[in-house]
Amino acid sequence: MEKQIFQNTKQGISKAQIVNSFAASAIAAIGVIVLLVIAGELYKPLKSFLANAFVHHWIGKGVLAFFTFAGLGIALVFFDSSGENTQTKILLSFLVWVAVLGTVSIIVFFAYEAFFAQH
Amino acid sequence: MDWETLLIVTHIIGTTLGVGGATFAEVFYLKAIRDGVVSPVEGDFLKTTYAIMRTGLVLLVLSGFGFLLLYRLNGAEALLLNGALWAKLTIVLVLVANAVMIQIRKMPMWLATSLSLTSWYAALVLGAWRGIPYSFLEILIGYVVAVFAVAYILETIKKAYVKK
Amino acid sequence: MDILSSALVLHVIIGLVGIIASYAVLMGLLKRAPSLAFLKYTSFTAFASYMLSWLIGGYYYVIYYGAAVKPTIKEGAYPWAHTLLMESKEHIFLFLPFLSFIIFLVIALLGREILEKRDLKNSLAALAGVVVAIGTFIALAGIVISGAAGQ
Repeated sequence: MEKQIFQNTKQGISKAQIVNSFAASAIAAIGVIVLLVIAGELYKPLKSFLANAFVHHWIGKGVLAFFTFAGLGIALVFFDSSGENTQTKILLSFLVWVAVLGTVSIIVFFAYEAFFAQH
Repeated sequence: MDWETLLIVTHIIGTTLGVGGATFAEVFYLKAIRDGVVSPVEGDFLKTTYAIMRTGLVLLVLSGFGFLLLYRLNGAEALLLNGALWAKLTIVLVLVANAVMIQIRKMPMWLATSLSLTSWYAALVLGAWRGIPYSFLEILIGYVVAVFAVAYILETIKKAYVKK
Repeated sequence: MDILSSALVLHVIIGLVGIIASYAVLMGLLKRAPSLAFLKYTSFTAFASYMLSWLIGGYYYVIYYGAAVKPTIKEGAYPWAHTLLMESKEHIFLFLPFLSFIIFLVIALLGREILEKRDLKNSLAALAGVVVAIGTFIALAGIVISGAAGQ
């Protein structure tokens, strides 16, 4: 039986549950960053909105990603009870692929913007 | 001591530890495999040598980036796009990747040892040679040729030295 | 040294410490018998370094880069150093604090399981490898961007 923490909750929250929740929210945060980056370049009013609301569009993307990560992570800890180690492995592997694909997407997108796009 | 002198001293110490470590790693490795068994003492010697090499690598990288910052702050940014500098950066990356490949056992030892030894000596030569007249590509071609030449020499020594 | 130069120096050195710490995590995880204390220490160092580098680099980027360095690069010999490398670097960097936090969290909370379950350890090592690769790309892109500013 895995050690439970936060015993005040109905069934207790396992350590794996915390890890799984934040791994899932990290996947979402990276998705939000990639989405905001590409959408902001293709639809300039979004970039302007971020710049106006957060001083600089880059700060806006960072802040929104942070709140996605923290907010979703905390919510999943309390609302999702899937705290199995097998899921941790799957979520970590998924996070690896999302990070790789996110990196490649951003580089390819800006390479296209820098060398091929007609502005 | 000014920043530049501190960086030069740190860079030299890093390179010395790396080149010395790589050389002794090769010597200890050959001695260790001579009788076909790596004893605990031999294994411990090798581990210590690898730790010294890693320390050298950290000092080399930190002081190297210190130089790059100095160029940036002193208005000598053009040096940051120098071919020899990028050849040296590439070789340091090879060293880093080689250590990972050795750890996950995805690199044959004849190539791994040659890569380590040649890369450290190449970093030393590129660091000491002022005004290198070769391009990035020419340096890398020379480096690749050196890796295979050193691998051949090491294998020849191994065949002659290691007991059948 | 003025505050902007100090910010640049700290951003680079602290970021570099983060990459070195992530590399140490990767190498530690690839060992047959990793040291949990070493992994906790290095993974926390990596996370803290990326957070600090984010704040300091962000200050330099928002206050100085956009107004003073970006126009020079865009009018220089290598405008792609900004349009491709800087644009990619500044956004991909945002992944690092989250990824390094997850690595630290897994090691801090599931350390024992990592030592016992090889597939979990390998997944975490792959994540540490991605962090090292992204960090290295960012560092190298930074050199080109600085170089392009002087052309």
